[in-house]
Amino acid sequence: MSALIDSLVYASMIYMASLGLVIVFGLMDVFNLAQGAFFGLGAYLFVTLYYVTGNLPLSLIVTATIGFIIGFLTERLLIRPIYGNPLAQLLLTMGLLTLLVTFMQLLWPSGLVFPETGDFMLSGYVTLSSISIRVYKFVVIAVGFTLFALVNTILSKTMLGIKLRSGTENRELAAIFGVNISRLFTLSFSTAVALALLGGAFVAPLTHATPDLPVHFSLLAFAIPVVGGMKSYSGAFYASLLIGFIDRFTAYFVPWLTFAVDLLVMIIVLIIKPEGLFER
Amino acid sequence: MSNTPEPILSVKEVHTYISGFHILQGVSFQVERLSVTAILGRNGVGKTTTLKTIMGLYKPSKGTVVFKGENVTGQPPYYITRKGISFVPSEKNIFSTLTVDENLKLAYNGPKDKISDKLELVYSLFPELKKFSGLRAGMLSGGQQRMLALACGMIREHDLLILDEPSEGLSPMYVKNFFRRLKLFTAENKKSVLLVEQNFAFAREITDYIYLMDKGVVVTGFSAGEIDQRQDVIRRILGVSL
Amino acid sequence: MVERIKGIALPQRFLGYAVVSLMMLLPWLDRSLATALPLALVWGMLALSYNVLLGFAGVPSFGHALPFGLGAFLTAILLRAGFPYLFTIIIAGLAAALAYVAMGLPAYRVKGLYYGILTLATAEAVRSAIESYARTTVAITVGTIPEFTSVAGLYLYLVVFTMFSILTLASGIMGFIYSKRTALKVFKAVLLALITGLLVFGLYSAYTSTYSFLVQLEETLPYVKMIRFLYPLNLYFVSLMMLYISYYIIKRIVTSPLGSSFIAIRENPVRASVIGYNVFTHQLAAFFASGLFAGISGSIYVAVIPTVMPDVFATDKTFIALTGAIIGGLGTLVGPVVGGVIAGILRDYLSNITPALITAGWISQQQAQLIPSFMLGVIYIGVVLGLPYGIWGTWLLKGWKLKRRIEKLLGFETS
Repeated sequence: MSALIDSLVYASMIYMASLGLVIVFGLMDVFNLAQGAFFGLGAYLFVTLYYVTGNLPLSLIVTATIGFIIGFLTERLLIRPIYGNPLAQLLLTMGLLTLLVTFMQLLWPSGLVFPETGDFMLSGYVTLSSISIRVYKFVVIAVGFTLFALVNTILSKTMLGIKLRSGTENRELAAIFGVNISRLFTLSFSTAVALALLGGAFVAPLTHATPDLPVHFSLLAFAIPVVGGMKSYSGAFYASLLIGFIDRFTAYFVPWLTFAVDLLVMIIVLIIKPEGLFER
Repeated sequence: MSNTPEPILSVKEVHTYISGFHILQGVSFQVERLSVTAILGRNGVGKTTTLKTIMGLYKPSKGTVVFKGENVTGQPPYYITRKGISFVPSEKNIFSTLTVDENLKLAYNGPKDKISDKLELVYSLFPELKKFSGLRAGMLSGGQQRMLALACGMIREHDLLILDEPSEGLSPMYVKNFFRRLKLFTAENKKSVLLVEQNFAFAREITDYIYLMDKGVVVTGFSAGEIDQRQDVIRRILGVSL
Repeated sequence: MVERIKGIALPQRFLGYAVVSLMMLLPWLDRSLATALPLALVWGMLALSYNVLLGFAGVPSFGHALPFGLGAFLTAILLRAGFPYLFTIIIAGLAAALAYVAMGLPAYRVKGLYYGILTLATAEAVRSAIESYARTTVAITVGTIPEFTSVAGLYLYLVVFTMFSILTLASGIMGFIYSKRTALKVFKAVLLALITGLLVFGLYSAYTSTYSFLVQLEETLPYVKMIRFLYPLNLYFVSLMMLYISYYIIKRIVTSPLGSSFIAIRENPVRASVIGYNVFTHQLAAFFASGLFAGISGSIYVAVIPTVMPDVFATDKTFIALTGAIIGGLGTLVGPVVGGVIAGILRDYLSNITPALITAGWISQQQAQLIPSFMLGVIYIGVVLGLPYGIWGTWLLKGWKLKRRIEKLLGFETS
């Protein structure tokens, strides 16, 4: 039972970490290896802000805003010059990943613990079928599902969504149709990074900001486009569920093989159905 | 042609390189206002590249593209589209993951309140599309997709419509019909048209001016009236008579 | 016979020999360098092995830490079990090569980006599997390696040093004789004189200190003093020699038909297979070579840092190799070595740059060690953006322009 809840929580977390990856790759063909690092950064920033301000919503908003700004700057300064050069993109984002991880280790050498609060939502427990479960876990699940619903709505009901989907399918044609591709790129990248930071922020009360958070979630996030379809927005959600479940159930029974099993799933999908399991 | 106003599009000495290959080696031609101009040429001479250069998808290394008096050489595609050129590519010209309706909505770039009128207009020109308006464009047949592409081209606010091989893949009867309607539409709505075609016979039917292209340059151009006199050139460049 | 000797002491080889000789000279100038450098040399070797795969065969592997870590772990285990060091190096190298080949099997099927992700994940998977399986920190500590305490090593060092010095002088003199332009001749003469002076001085101090050491040995020197003298020298010698040998072998591989096939495969796999290269096996060969030297560098790593932990599989090891190869120049031979050494030096030893900040109490020692890594990351990004061919690579490609300018300045005609 607790494994079930944990799976859903994990799925939510992975979804938040990897959504930005799929958005950016779908639109720009840039695989942001540093996405997971941004996720971790979000966790650290959020906890620090919370310590300083004690105000939850404020910390969240500030974290997201910082994420947007960082994303904007990154896209302008680092990504722009290497459009169309896949090797350079890999190398650069890998460098960015390492840089960010080192940066986090530098500023917060032993991680940050999210403090106990009096808030029931944040730190309280609830008992379900004789197991004590952290209430916040449900919050995370809710956030994840809400995000999915939000993304779906934007994509299908708004003009922005149409532009995004068109750009993902065929960049050149979208440009001809009058879409300002370069602005769309910047917007998407910034949002993706903001999402990553926000995701990390949401996760922090549960996992605390630990040094291995960026690496751990990086790799899980990478698995999602592979398993769900590199450019599929809905695929990302279902893949997150899949991986979340597989990961946590493995963790329940054979903890040390957890990551290896995740990897195995990735390999299997790559070999059998390289485009991903869930179409579009 | 000394009393005619400025041509709506003027391309001068354009050179374009793609991956190091010198594809366009000095392309020059004009599209007069309210005319239907065609560029004819065999496969691979650079017709599509010319169109893409005009649209800003390729940046020319030399030469200029002037539209409605403004130098738009090398501007990004969305800018050129907004200036009033509507381009319909020959392939991959619709979004298969979007519905028919969404394709048209995306193509449309005018005031929001006029959009339903415009849709009505387009659906009246293409009654078949109306049936499928909620369907994903990828599920349409090849011919229907072509129609959608042309519809998108026409729904966009434009002064110049550029079509790349519009007759390709359409049945001959439909070709005749549609382009007669196109000619009417553009005359009524004061539009200019630039076509690139391989289907020479059809082109002859509706064009006002013809340019012949070979090996990355525009070799010659003349009005439709002179086609009969220029058969020898035509035969040389295109390999057939018109 | 004379031709043979002339063949070895070619003028073009001057630079190479000079570098090796000067490197061998270093410990006699300053003993502490002998303990400081081997680690950097390890990274140079790792970057070199990485370059074989990424730079020449064009395979984007982000799991290079795997053969490295495997080599390190195997060596540590075998040493603890009492096997001779040379033996462990060979075993570690072979095992790492085979493991990398296994990891290389999907590379044919899975392209580019996906493969990169896969390798990244694999290396991390191994690391986390070991860490969580053991439930406590896994650390294998190796004591002093007996071979490094032998005096024979010292003799060998001196012999090789002398040999390289002679080669340097020989090729330097040949270069001097055969160069045509006067200004260039003068330049070479001055350089040669400088280097000769250094080498002679070095050989002199080497011989004399060895002599006095041996004399003291007769009078039964305390064990500790003996170790202090011999160990660093032997360690340095082994690491330098392994690097040189690896470089040499890799150079031979790359300039061979096999090497050309790597490049062909990298540039255009379809075309290569049509021509008749078996892309699959050639790729695996590249994995083998790359893994072999990565494993060997892992072995040397154990000699330098006697405690092996699962973090040898961590991504930052791959990253050092990557940085070294990029900064130095992917696809060149010399570049990654130099790049790797520089990256290593920057990362491991430049924490000494920030003592002021430490004493001010702002950051801890541990954090200070990260600052160079950070700077390295920034440099790395700068290089990727600005100097895509790396320092050496850009020099090779564009450096002739600079050369021309200098020649013009010095006033000779360009030929």
